[in-house]
Amino acid sequence: MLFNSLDFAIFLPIIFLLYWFVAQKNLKLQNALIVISSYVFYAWWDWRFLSLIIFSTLVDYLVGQKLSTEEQQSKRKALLWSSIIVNLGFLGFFKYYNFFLENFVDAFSLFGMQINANSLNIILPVGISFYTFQTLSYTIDVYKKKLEPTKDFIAFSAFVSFFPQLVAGPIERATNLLPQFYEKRTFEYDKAVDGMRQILWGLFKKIVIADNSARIANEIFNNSGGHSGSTLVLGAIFFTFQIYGDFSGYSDIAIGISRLFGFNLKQNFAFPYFSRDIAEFWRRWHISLSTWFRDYLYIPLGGSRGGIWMKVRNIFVIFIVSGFWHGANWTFIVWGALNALYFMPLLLLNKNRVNTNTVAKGKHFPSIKEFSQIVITFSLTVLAWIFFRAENIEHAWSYLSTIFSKSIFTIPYYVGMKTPMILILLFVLIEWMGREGNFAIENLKNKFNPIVRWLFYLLLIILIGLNKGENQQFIYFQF
Amino acid sequence: MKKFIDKTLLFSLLLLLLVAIGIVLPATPRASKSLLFAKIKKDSLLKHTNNPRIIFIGGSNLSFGLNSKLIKDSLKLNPINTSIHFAIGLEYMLDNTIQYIKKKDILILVPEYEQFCGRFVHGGEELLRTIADIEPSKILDLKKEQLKNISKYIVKYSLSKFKINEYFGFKESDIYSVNSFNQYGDVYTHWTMQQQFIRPHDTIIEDYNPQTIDLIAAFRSEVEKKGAKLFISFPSFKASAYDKNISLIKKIEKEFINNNFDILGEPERYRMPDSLMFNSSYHLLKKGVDYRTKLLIQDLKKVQTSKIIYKQ
Repeated sequence: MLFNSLDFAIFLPIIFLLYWFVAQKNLKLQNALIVISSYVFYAWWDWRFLSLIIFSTLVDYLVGQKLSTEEQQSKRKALLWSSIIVNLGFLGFFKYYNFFLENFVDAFSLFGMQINANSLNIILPVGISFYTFQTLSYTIDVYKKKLEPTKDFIAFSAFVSFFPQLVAGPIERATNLLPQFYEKRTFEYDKAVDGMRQILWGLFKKIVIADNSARIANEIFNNSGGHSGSTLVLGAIFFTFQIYGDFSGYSDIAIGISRLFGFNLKQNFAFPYFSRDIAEFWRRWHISLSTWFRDYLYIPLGGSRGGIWMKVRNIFVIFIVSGFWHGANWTFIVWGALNALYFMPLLLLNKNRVNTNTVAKGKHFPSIKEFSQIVITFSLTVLAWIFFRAENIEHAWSYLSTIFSKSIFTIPYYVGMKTPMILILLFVLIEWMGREGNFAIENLKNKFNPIVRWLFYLLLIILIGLNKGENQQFIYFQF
Repeated sequence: MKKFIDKTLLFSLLLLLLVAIGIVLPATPRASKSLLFAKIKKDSLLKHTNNPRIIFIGGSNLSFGLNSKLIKDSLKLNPINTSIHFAIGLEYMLDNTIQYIKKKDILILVPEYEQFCGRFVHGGEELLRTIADIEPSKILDLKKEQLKNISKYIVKYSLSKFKINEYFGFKESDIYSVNSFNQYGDVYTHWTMQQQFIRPHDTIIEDYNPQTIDLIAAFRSEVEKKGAKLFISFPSFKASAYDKNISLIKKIEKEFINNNFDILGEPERYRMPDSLMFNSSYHLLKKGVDYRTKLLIQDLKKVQTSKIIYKQ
């Protein structure tokens, strides 16, 4: 079920009313309703893969229970590894089996050895990368004794399958989300209105910004051989807004829906395209994944302790693994490695934590220096997205070589791009004005009277309606 | 909670009211000039053109790809080009045409290849606009799949009525206007124009949809019941786009053969060099229009010679 579909527009109010009117006096009933509705939500795509979620839930629940009584370190470690193997085993098989197989065959053929291996026609279960990491965070935190294992199986199932963020995040930590399933939730008007506002903004980002940008980016990327360098630059910029609108839009909708049900999810995007360097960008982009890798991979590897080479190694590992998490293709690995390269000067000069506050806080405009830094960081990001979007490495290289050719000085093909460009400018302006909040229009209530606010919401809805056509899939569902 | 539900309901009702107003408002001046309104004239042609008739059904590969005058002069048949827009959907085109079919009519069906994939056959936004703006009573005749397809565009359609540029300051298109068609139903205003930028045509990624062949087969039965004859031809298609989609095209051709349709020529004959294209992979320049029409005439003459076509 897509957030931007009619099915979901019917599903959500039904669950909302049942949750607050039928089940509100019984916490267990509310949690059970969340589990059932989450399973229905997931089964809407493919009910067969529901068994994977249920199996992961069972394994991690049981591992958590065992860890609570087991004191012997070797056995605790074995329990932890059993959870990691099961969860990453599913992920590895469904997502990476064919990739590794094909690359092994290619590698052996380099040495003149021909191996006959048949790749499998595997369907990637939606959201597997997200819920796998979420449930793993529980086991690891219980193992590290940062979190008490839960005895409440319904609450744990609800935590693993919570439908607003089940298929594309944010990847919630057990330490943040799981305790919320133990506490009685009461309806809060302001929280619910905030949630509605964030849902509206998320839909605007997805349907107006991302889908319009996608139409142009897809056309240019799919036919990059027939376009000039200048048009390819436009294509890369449109993809840059597509992926941001698509993914952060999904996160906004997920966070907003969670607020309707009385839950607080962590912010997942913090205006990343206003970053002044690449380190800041990665503190603002897909925060739940970046911090997951920081806590469960980077720090166990030694983090920023140790010598310079260890730091460099750890940065490359975390970025390459992060790239690989996005998909079984060398393009994602190169995208990760390129971001690690971007990071290097900051790391080596020890300047990776210079820009930690909001840019131009309390001001209308950035300084010239800040503006230049934003433009440079944005441009580097656009270049990296080319690898992310390209079909394969050859496609990315040919795309880049056309960009860096004489044809970059020609007038780009821009028919049909005027309206999307105006919408993107409007979007950037609103994001800039709201950059000190959790999402761009969060603080609208403090700035404008109700009539202006309602007119603004109406305008957003009209723009969403005017741009609504086919329900476009969210990009991150495939990861 | 009550305050939240009250306000949400109030806002939703206001929105519903806005959408409802948009739906019942008449077609905007801009929409009234669109090529979709050519349907009125084309239906009139279907109703009033005398025998012997040859009727062309399809999307813009025909409206931007046929010189009916050449057909008339060469075959001595009265041509009616019913084609308007691919996204009206083949299902609606067939359902609309069948009511006007007379005994001894010759029908040439030339669907774009996309009509055989995904849900395109059931129409899209242009079908909704055709129904809502031109013949609202026909909504009752639409089938479930068509209604499902057009439902996605209702809000967009309704809200478009509130756009200022639908009423003021718009410029009627030279080529996509109700006035772009000649007396036979061909778009002719681009015949004096130069080639425009042609967006590269992607590989069609939607799955093959067997429903389309079934619909055409059912249409053939209806046509034959009325004493008319149906032939299948293939759209003029830009060479590079053709090559990208060759396996699909071959599959469609094979399905036509397997279902014993009377076919005019082969898809390859209508694989057009880029130099003959106008502004899309299906739209031809005047030179291309004449070339394609001549190919079609040759194919028609072959079946005339072999006496498949009824003697008029």
